[in-house]
Amino acid sequence: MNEQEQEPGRTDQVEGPLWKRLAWLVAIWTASVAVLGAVAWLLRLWIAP
Amino acid sequence: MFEGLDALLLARAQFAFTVSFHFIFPAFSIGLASYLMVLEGLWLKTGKSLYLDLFKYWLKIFAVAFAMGVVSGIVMSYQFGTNWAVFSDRAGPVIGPLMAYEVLTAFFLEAGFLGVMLFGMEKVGRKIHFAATCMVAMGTFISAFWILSVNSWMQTPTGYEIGANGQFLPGPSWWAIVFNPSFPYRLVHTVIAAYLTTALAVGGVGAWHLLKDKGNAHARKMFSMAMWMAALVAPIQIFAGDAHGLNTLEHQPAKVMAMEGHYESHPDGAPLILFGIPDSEAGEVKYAVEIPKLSSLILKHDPNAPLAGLDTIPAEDHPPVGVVFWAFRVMVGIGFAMLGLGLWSLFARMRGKLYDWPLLHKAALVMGPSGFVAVIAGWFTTEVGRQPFTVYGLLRTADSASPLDAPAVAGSLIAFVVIYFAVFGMGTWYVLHLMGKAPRPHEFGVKRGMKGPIRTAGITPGPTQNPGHAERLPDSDPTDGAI
Repeated sequence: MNEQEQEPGRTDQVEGPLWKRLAWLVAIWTASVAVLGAVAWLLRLWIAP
Repeated sequence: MFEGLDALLLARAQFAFTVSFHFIFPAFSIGLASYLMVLEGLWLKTGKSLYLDLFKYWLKIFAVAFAMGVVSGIVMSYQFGTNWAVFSDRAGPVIGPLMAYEVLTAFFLEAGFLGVMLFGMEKVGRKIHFAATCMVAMGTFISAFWILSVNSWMQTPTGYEIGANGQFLPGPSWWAIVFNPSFPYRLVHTVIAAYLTTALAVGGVGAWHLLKDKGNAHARKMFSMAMWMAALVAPIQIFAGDAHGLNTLEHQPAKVMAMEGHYESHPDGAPLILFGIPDSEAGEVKYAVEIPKLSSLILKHDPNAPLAGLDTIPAEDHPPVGVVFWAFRVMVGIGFAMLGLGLWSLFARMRGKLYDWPLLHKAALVMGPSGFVAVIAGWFTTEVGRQPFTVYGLLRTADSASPLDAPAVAGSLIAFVVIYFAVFGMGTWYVLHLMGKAPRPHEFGVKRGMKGPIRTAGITPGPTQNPGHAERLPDSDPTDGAI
């Protein structure tokens, strides 16, 4: 199969219910912001303890 | 040990060092975020897995560049307090809120949705994932918007009032502060520069892999997309830069005089000095190679128009001419080289030889890092050209620094140099390592095991053979000898 053609196995995956996907979105987003917050706080401790 | 040194010069050197390091990463991530958005959008629209492979390939590089950009940026905002406390106190009421918006954007749009980009593909579904990618791309632009608004206000301050304690206070309209006279020009010029920087880097990586295997479909696609950008956007950038220069002439004439190397006024038309060695002691550019009247033609659209020189400005208000003069030439020279590469690629494309001319690929490879050099040179031009002021014409750099002794500033400068070269050196090495690997079908993602299904026959996905361990699939590249 030509690699540039559509591969149904990669584009037509079965997705979970919307509420579950939105919950994952909120969880990952919150965790990411928290990680950056922690990094910023650690840098502040280093530069201006 | 450092008692004989000038604390102000050390503080300036420290900021120049950290901002030069920092600027490399957002210049890359602003363009790369938009490129990722385009790649994922094309994948969703066409269903072609090649775009998904390229998305995953560049996503890893974006993640590293973004992390280094955020960390180096946070350090810089703290530096305002440590080394530039007087400036922060005086200008804080005006620039503080704008910088806060930039930080909020970096946290809640860029970093938050970057996590979804990196780890959410299998969790949130394709459309929500694409929305997250769009939010990151939009976030990088909005971050650039606010930080360039701050910088532009320092260049062309408007909309402020001076308080009784000498602070710059916001006037009746924040719009006058945000949209100060140089901001629209600087925003357009800088954001386009970021897009071009990314295009040249992507083109360089594509060219590298084309030189090794000109049949690599992924390398072909990224090279083609990058060369379209170079061909179409480089001319726009030259016009944007010209408009920015005319705006600078109106609001910061001393900077343009330094860029042009015009120590003396020219009442009958000023020459364009192509090259030379500025000598501020003698007030002349030695060994100048110049084209008569051309500077007046470019800046005033009249070859005989008079142009004032630095002799009309008090010596204590002169910017350092040598740095500005040469940084400007480096930036402009690279800009025209980008245009040349874009036109060359157009010619090759018309001849149907875009993937068949090794010389073009070698040129693109050499030009790969040129965008980074150009943006730093441009930054030096505009920032050193603003000297000797932090807030142009209103607050001198010498009056902006914290009351620190030289040993304190030197100590932190050494710490920054050591740590930056170690941390960001490793990060840059890792980015180059990732770029050195050829993009391939079923490109693995950020998470180990995020590789797509193994195919046993036809298009039917088979079970994962070695979940979470193999970095590539046995059948992903028949040339790598994995089996």
